[in-house]
Amino acid sequence: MRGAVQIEKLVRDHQDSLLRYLRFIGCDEALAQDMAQDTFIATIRADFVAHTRKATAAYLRTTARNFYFMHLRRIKREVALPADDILEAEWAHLEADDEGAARRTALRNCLSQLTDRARLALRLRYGENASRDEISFATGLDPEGAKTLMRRAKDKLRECITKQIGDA
Amino acid sequence: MNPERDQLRERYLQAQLREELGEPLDLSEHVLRAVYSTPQRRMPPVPRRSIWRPLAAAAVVLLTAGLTAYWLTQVLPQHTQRRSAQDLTASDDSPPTQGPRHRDEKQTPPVQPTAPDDLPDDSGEIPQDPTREPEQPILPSDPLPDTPTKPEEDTSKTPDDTVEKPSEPDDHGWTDPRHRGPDQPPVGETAPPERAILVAGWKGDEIRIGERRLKHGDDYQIRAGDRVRVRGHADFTLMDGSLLRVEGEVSFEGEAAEVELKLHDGAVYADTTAAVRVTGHELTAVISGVAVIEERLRALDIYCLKGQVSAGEHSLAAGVQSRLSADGFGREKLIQWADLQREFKFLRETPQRTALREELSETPGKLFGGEIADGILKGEAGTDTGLGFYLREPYSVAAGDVVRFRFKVHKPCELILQFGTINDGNWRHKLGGVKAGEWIEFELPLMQLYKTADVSQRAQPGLELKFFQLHPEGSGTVIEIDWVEIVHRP
Repeated sequence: MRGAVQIEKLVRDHQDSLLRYLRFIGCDEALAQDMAQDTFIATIRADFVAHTRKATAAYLRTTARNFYFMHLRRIKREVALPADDILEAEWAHLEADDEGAARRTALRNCLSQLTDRARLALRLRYGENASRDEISFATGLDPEGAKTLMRRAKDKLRECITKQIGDA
Repeated sequence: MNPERDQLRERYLQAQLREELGEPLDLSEHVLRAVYSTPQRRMPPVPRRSIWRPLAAAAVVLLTAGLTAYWLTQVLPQHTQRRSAQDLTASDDSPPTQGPRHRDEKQTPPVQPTAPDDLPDDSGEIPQDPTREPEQPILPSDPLPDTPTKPEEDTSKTPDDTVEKPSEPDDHGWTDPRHRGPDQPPVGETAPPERAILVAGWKGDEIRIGERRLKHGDDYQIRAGDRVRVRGHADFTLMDGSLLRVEGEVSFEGEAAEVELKLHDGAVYADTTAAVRVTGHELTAVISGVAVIEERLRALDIYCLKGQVSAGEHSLAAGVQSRLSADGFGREKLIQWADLQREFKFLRETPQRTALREELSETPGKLFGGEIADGILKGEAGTDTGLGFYLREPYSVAAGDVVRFRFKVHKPCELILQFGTINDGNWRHKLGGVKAGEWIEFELPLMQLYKTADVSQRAQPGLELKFFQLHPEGSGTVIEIDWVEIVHRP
């Protein structure tokens, strides 16, 4: 088995990307963290050795996806997921060859172009897991208004990122 | 568009938002704990209770009860007898001393209610207690013995007290500079002029230098020998451009080219351009790069992020944390910037060292078209003719550098940000969908620039930038640039 420093390095190198992937395939926040943890533990116990970062990331993704399927089976929940090849192709497209760094920079720039209220709503929703009532209270809108505000903000972000990345 | 793909992209955006707006996560602790723990961990062991603990508690209770009984039956009767005798003599001689005596009685009130029950035999004494109890209404006047005595002293000492008062404010709970007050006046008055100026500027809510409280913008030059206490945290830019963010109390020592920081309390974040020595508990660490040092009990906790931190012959590499004590560096642990932001509240807002800034209030170097007026570079730019300027001197790119600039275009367009370098051609980044008529602040990590002639090449540390340029794609437009800066982040 790897030493503590190697384990720490493996986790820190790949946790962001793995969590992002788990959210991408449909895990909620708590489940994504559980699945990521199980994935790392299984990978370490299996003494997996990869020579490139890309290969390790691919192995972790496959393991995480299997854990997620097992979880869905265990709780007897049917979730329609796209085929593996579609998932992987879309993931590869979104992450590009910089693990999504360009998209993250674009997102940061685009967030700064939103109104303060829209930014606040998104921060409460995605940064602090606030409920819609809490967001509506903080933004001074009714719950439906808060929902619309967030939907519009995300639309703007999507459009702005697409323009910045030059993505189709 | 394909709905499956839409859904995946929506989830990806949400994942990015969680990552960007949420607290940074670190699973390594959990994973390590899980990997190294035994399978029995799921059944938490029943906490073992030591057998002697209840016995000791019982013994303490019994001892206390015994002592109380002894005191009530043996000591208290004698004590009350003695006191009643004293009272009798005192009432004959000196009535004014009753006040203080009542104060003595007040120290034993909890016992008084039990005393009558426990003293059935002292029939002569018992009535005395109830008789004294009626006097207890005097107790409310107990605070008075303090006040009457003081006013008496006050009236006799008024002149002295008024003289002494100025030295007393130190007792109001301002513990830190309590004894430094009288020693401090030399700071302002007799400060030797040859003390080197070490800080070019500072930013923060409030700092205290000796007795002086300074708000941001107050005129004061921090020199060698100044001891600075920071409220919250404050950023200090040294003369060579190094950035120090301090939480706690430090002294600045040394020369402008060789600053030494004494860490009395708290922690310091340093992003240095030249080595900075930090001392604490007679330990010295030299930071060449980016690091955080926190003062501990007879030790310094050192977190090295970039470059290295050395102590004597040993050094700590980038990405490693260790404790420095008299025995040298201790166990090493990997760290990342996110760990430090979690660990230290004063680093939540990312510090940034300004490596280069052009306000464009004057021509920095040769201009690419346009002209500077009122601090703004403005000009018509087409697809072939950009708007920009040569840097005053080449700038060497470092990992963590971010270019930031404020600009406006007069027609919506797509813009190309381009840097020219001394030996490696031009490097660019495309800004899509730029709105017209709005001042926009834009920032981009320099490592995200790609080579104009070969888009597969990303910028690397060490590139020597020589000019900055913006030009539109498609049709031309007027561009205005307010300022440009390159900041360095951990």
